[in-house]
Amino acid sequence: MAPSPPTTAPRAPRVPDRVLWIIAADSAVAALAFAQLLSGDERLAVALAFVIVAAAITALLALRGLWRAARSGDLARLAGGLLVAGLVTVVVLAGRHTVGTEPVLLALVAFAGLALVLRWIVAAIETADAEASPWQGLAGVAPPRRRPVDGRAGAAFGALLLVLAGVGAARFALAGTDSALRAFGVGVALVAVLTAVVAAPLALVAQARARRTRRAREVGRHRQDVAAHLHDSVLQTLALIQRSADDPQQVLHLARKQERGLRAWLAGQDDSAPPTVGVALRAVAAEVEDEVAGAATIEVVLVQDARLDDAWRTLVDAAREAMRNAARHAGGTVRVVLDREGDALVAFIRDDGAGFDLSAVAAERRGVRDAIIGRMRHAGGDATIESSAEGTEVVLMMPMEDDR
Amino acid sequence: MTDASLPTVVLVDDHALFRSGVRAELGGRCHVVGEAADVESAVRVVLAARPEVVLLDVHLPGGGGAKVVEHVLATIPDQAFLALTVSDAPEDVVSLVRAGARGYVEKTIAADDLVAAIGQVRAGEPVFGPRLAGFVLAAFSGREEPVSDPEVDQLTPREREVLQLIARGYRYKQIALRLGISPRTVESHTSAVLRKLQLTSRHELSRWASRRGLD
Repeated sequence: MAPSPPTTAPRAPRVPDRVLWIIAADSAVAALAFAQLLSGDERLAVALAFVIVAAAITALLALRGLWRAARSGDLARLAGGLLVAGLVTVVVLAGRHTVGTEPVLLALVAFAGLALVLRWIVAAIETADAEASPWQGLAGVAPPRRRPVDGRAGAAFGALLLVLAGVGAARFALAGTDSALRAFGVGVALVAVLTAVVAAPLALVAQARARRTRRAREVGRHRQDVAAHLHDSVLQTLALIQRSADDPQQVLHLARKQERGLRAWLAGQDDSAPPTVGVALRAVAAEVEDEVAGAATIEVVLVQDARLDDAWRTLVDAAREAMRNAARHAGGTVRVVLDREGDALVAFIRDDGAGFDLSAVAAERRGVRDAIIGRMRHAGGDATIESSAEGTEVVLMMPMEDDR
Repeated sequence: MTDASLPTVVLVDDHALFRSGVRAELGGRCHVVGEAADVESAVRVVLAARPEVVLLDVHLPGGGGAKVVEHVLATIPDQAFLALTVSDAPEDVVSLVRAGARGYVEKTIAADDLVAAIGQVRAGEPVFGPRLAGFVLAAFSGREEPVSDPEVDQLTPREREVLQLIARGYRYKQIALRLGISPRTVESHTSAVLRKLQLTSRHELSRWASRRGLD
């Protein structure tokens, strides 16, 4: 048979090629068989139908070669290839003076449908291995994005053409007066059925394989994400810890920071969720812990929570000042509890340091008064600071919106 | 040989490194009579060694710490458990306490505090740390719908007050002082809360967990 498929294709798939060659050879054998079994014009016409198939597949293989050689294949190339294949068909048909224009058109339609469907199957099988959806493969596009619908539409269009050809052929077969045409119709109908029989299982296999590949790819991507995250976070921190092994406070700080990050990651903290007072408090606690580099651990417990608004932002800001004071002057463990009392949201920030006398050190700690008490009262809330030898507790109270 | 006054302890944790760390920390102050790394062996070891206190992790291969508590309590109804975990998911901790653990401490706890907590659990007192108090408060205050049994499903205002002070980091003695009650009374409040937690219907807590997107 005519030109062998170009071997310039980067990754020539063996299975589909073989399948296509088998169909081509089968068609040729069928043509010969019919030529022997039938007589006269009928024989010629049926044989012709199969010759068309053989020629079509050969042309398809050539087309596919063209296609793959030009990696960015588009519909213009498909049209060009079809034209070449169509010309082959017309040349073959033109040799028969008994055949009119209608059967030639029918053959072209049948061929175009066949080409599209087979092209889809080939693409599906190739791309199932090559990390792209079969539909992307049909469009002749390498894995990077392409609307998957294109390929499906192409294949569907091909199937439609085949059905049209089948219907046309059936008309010829049933109503045709010319026995040669009738036989031709039967031939085309046979080709359509043959295509369906070959295509269906191949398509199913290809789709299943594509699904499997996709799933494997998802798992792989997930693993990659995890690896990337661990690399950026845990491994970096471990490296840092090894380098600062002689600085226990730094080690503690790094470990604590990493623990916090990992917990947030495991909990799948959602940045798109509406921010709450609790989330803001946790963020502030992390910030303050970083500021004092491990000198204090801040535990945040959320008994109640509320969506963050401006007044509660004030509460969070005041809480930041309280946490800073506790972390710097007391260290150790600072406990933050967010709860609701009546119609107010209350934050408790407590350390168990030595404490201080608010009135005695008022001048020095002016900032505490202004930053915490002043700020809260200005926003419609209140703050109290209680300090003793057993620790200091700052209580921030902010009423619900309606009561401010 | 062994000092009879030392508490006997079984360590249940699937990390061998962590077990050996705890064992080293407890050295001389507790008598570690057994170790286990999963549910099945934990139940076996505890039933065989009969320790005074079982230190138990929440996450264990074979069904989790709560399974161990359930199985052991079926045979030894008064076995003392102390949950020791890195998990900071409230439902993890609360589920273990509900199953029957008498307390919960974080894995980052200092050795001295751990020994003290073991002593407390051994004496039949609950170990109600600030974190557990916060979790329990959250568990009980998350309910908006009417409770089915107020006796069991709600905290009294006093219990709530006590829990909140614990969560804020106050010690029992300080709480007693603030509320003008005796430390014994503070303890009886925490014990009552623990009992309520263990009696609360599974349904209630799972509803709480699902509403908070925790399960």
